[in-house]
Amino acid sequence: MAPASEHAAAYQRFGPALVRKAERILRNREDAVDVVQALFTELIARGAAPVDLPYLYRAVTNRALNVVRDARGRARLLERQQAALAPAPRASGALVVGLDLLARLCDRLDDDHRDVLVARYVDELTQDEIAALYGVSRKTVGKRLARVDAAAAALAAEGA
Amino acid sequence: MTAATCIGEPVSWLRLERLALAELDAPTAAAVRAHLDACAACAGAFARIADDARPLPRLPAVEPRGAWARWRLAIGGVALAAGAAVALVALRPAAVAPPPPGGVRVKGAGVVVVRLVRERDGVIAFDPDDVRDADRWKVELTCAPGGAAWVDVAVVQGRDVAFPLAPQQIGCGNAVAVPGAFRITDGAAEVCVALAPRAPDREKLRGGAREGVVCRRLAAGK
Repeated sequence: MAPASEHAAAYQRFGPALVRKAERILRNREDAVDVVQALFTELIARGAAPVDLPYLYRAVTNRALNVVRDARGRARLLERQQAALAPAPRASGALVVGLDLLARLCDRLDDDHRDVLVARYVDELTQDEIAALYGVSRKTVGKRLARVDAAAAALAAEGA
Repeated sequence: MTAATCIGEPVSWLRLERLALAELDAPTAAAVRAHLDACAACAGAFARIADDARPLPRLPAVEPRGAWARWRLAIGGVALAAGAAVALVALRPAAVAPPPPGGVRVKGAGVVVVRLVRERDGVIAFDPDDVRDADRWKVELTCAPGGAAWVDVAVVQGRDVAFPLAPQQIGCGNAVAVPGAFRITDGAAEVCVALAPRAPDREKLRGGAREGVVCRRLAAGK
């Protein structure tokens, strides 16, 4: 069992990066800090071995999306969202995933596609990075992204 | 806000964070730095990281978890990694593992595992055995993503039954916190978490019905 001090050190080292990552999804710092603290208290309680930043990135995505998917959590997020925490995408023509769109896409996509959605359009990972992070082929990432794009396009068409 | 557009493929936030943490190998770090020198958009993103001096709240102390709770956490870990596999594991536990006493099957959610979370003087404990007036309590649920269940929480003390939270529907996931926290005063209590495909019947709970209900006894803390 890993001592809690190792996790405390990992929290100090990786915590700020993870909170920033959670903020990009949840759009408010308070919920982002809650997600990251809950993750670390869970890791400490389990006595799991210290982990690296990519692993923690995946875990934060999972927990943050749990908040977005929950109806009450979603309403609270929309109320609290802070525009300052939403950097514009740097890739030309990239899908802009605001909290509302993310929530609606979460209703239409399964976990694998939600992960790819966040990795590509919130964390701005390349397809190769997503493939490495989730242990799938680049082709699989491409297929999942195509499905995400189709779901986003369908939502846009419905709203038009 | 980063307004500019990248000159090519943006450097991911993960890679920028790892650059800031000096975690990248030398060739990769050099390549990223070269990109930042040429790309205002990515340099701006990196500056957001480098300039972020907001303090992080202290991590709450955590009490060690008992063997029974670790068993349940193992289910949570499966949920994190394999989603729907949770239901299968919970329904068909390994030969050496006892069935999960904190889990119930709910139509539309599969097996739902309940965990009580106590905060006492800044220390978090999972499924503790005792209660004090000043403790703060929350309930967490773990079930296969994609499902949903209604949850209601009852605190039973002798003949008194109190409902500290509104009944609510929760989307499944790993250790999903039921919104709201509560305190339990006046000593020993039994906390019962009712799970159902629709809002649980409180009259049945008051009457002592325990189908689809997970209960945990808490002794009066000293």
